[in-house]
Amino acid sequence: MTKPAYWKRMGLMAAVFLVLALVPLSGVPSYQFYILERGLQNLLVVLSLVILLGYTGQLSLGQAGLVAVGAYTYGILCVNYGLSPWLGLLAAPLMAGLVGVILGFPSFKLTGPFLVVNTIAFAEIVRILILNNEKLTGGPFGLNRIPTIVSGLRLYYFMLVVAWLAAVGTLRLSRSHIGLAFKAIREDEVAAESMGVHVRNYKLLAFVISAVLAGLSGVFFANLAGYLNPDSFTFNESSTYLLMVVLGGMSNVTGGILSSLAVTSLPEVLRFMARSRMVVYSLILLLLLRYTKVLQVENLRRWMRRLRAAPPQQGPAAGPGQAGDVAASSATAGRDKVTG
Amino acid sequence: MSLLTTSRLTKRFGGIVAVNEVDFNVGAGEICGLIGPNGSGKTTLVNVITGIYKPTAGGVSFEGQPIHGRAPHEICALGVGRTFQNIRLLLTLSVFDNVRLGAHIHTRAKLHDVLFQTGKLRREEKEFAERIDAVLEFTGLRPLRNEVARNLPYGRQKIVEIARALMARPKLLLLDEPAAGLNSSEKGQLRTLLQKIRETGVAIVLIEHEMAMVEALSNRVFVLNYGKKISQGTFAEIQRDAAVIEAYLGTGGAHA
Amino acid sequence: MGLHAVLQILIQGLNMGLIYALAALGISLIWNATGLFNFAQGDLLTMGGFVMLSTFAHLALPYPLAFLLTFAIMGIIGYLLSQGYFYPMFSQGLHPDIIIIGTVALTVLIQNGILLFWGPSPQRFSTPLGDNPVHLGKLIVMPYYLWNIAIVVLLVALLQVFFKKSMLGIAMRAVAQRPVTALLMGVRVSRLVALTFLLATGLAAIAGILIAPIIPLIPEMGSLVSLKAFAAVLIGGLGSFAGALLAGVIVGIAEVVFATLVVSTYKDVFIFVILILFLLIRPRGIFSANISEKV
Repeated sequence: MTKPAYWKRMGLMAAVFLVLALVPLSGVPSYQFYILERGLQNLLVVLSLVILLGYTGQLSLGQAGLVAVGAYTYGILCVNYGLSPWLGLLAAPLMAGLVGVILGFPSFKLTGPFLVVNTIAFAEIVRILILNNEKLTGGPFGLNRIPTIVSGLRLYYFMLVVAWLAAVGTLRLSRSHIGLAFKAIREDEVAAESMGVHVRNYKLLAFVISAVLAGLSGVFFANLAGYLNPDSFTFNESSTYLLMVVLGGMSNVTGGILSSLAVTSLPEVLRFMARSRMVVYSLILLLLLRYTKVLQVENLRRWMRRLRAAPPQQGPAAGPGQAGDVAASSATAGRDKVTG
Repeated sequence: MSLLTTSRLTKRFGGIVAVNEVDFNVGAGEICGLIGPNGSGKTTLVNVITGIYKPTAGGVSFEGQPIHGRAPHEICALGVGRTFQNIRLLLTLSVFDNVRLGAHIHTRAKLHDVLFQTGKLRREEKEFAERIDAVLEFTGLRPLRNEVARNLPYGRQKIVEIARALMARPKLLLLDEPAAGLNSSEKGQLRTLLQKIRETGVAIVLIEHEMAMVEALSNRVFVLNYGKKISQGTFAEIQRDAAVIEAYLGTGGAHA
Repeated sequence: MGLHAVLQILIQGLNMGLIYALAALGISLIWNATGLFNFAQGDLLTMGGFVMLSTFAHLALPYPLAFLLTFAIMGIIGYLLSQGYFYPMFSQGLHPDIIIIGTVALTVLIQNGILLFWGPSPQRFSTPLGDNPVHLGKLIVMPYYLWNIAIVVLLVALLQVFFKKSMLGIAMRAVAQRPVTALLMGVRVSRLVALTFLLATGLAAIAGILIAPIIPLIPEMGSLVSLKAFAAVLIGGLGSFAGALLAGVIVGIAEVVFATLVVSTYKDVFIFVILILFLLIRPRGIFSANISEKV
């Protein structure tokens, strides 16, 4: 990323956060406001996926499990052990990071559906463990009366600041040699390894960073809800996070911010959509994925040229690497593809 | 004094012996051609040397130290660079970023440096930027610095791969068919570039089908066929070798 | 523990195992034909159950008619999913992760669609054999267990014949093994893939119909069933039909045995841990990926 591109993105992000900072002054009713706060909380998980999936190409459907670890660590330390919420805020992401090491450990060996299944299984194990250890976690009855770090409007601004720092950190990561190593792993593991990237360790790093962010999100969840129940951390939630990050453009930080706010808070604004919002969102995502080639910027430009020029241009040129690597799965009898 | 040596290096895939007890060596500062008909095991040999495959038998040593069985990123850090037959660039990123990846092994900054944008990170990135520009200048890619790799013509992409490999300051560079797909002016530029690289003291292993280029550049040539080394020597010597002729042309006179 | 108690457990485990096996078989079929891992298989199963709910319980159609109608409806949905969605994406050469995300989005769509259409309350219906326990000597068995076993055995026999004897079945196996050759032999790959989806979705639907008497249907159940079916597919070997069936049964029985002998609350964890161990140690499963393996 060049310097001007970096600052442009920072500027865009700053604009969004500025708007968010000003929202409380406009007198938004408290329920709507709560939803906005939830959007901010989800934003941290979306950032975790931007790093893990967007940059490093590791598809995880287990983020809800990591959020749960963060939320329950915070809750348990505060409620069961009476520790200060600030300590909980510190300890919870670290705990989630630790679990992230375990989750990420098999990643050097697993790809595609195998990796995904591994993450789903892990998240389920976490959820079931939480469910069945009533003495520690309250089990199905949940964990109650969780204290907040700060209260009221100050919580919102606190979350805003933390989210801002996380977003800036993610952008800085993207621009750095670490981000470059991540992207190299995503695009071509063999090339990355041959260029000196210790792929195994970097994949683990990506998992740990994303786990810490998810754990932090869990702390905020606990703060906002005041009450925890294992039903809030299921495969459903993990799928929703994935939906958000893909709708936001997978490796796009600002896009992720906007989509997490939109997916979380929009239906409350458009009341009619409330019950069917997930149906609508998943349909939108399905369509986006189906027509992802059409929507790629170069293809759009080509179409524009076609429409404008009188004699039609040549058909889609197959540039090198257009379609990316198709997995080794044998049954590819599809139409012709690319050179190279 | 040999920089890289393989001794009876063998690689089997199931029943197929792709590399068959190959003894190969490259000296410091020389250009070694590696030729042979398609499928003779040249790329596989390079893949074993660079750690992508583990050898079934035999060994590889670099600067006197055994490197067989080590991971590719370790071998890269020791000073072995390479390019790929099918270009393996990060096509969605710029030329600058692609070349920057080559410097990964030299990067000292850590995660906290990145997150807090410390002075250490800034200084290092500035230094790398200067080095990248120097490498781009050296390879003639300077004007394409910020272009997205995907938009480059094929010939330019191949040079970007070489630039990326050079960024790691290798002692040995393994080039897998760098001239394939290049037009004649590009081939001339490539030849000049490889000579320049040799002058900097970097040894090169050149896998090629372009015999003119192999002849012009190589100090020595190794010839493989069906995974076995069938000849070695100067280009003139192997050119006259009956085994080499047979490998490329088959036993004479049987068909029209 | 008496013999009849053991048999009781085995019959229970066999039942769930056969249901997992059907779902696993569907996943294997799709994988063999396209290399796609269908994460929505469990939700298609759930949807099959709910469609049967509508045809059998709500519309009060006779069981066989409702059964076939459900199979047909779900089969058509599978066919359309393939032709309209998955095959085009697959032949565009998209990164496989994108398509996986597509199946996940499909999961969300189906789960929430079911929620929207049928509501959140658990639903149940039974088989024509009713709900009165059957006495076989000292064994007391719920009649739907017997019904399920009979149906699946019949189904597997039919599939065997289909794959070995019918042109279509042979063609499907050909596509799975050698798509290019199949293409050259005049086989329309896209249509065969669509038919594979049809079959896989139909099998999922049947599994959904069979599960309803045992476990009440709720919109979210797809995820859990999917996971167990994945476990079965991976344990049995990703290309192998026989492996999927066998491993499905193993998972079902192992689950029940663990629940009875150790502790029932962690039976799922037990299966998932085994799944993870297989992923790490033997990802190719018990049978290696032998695509030509017959059902």
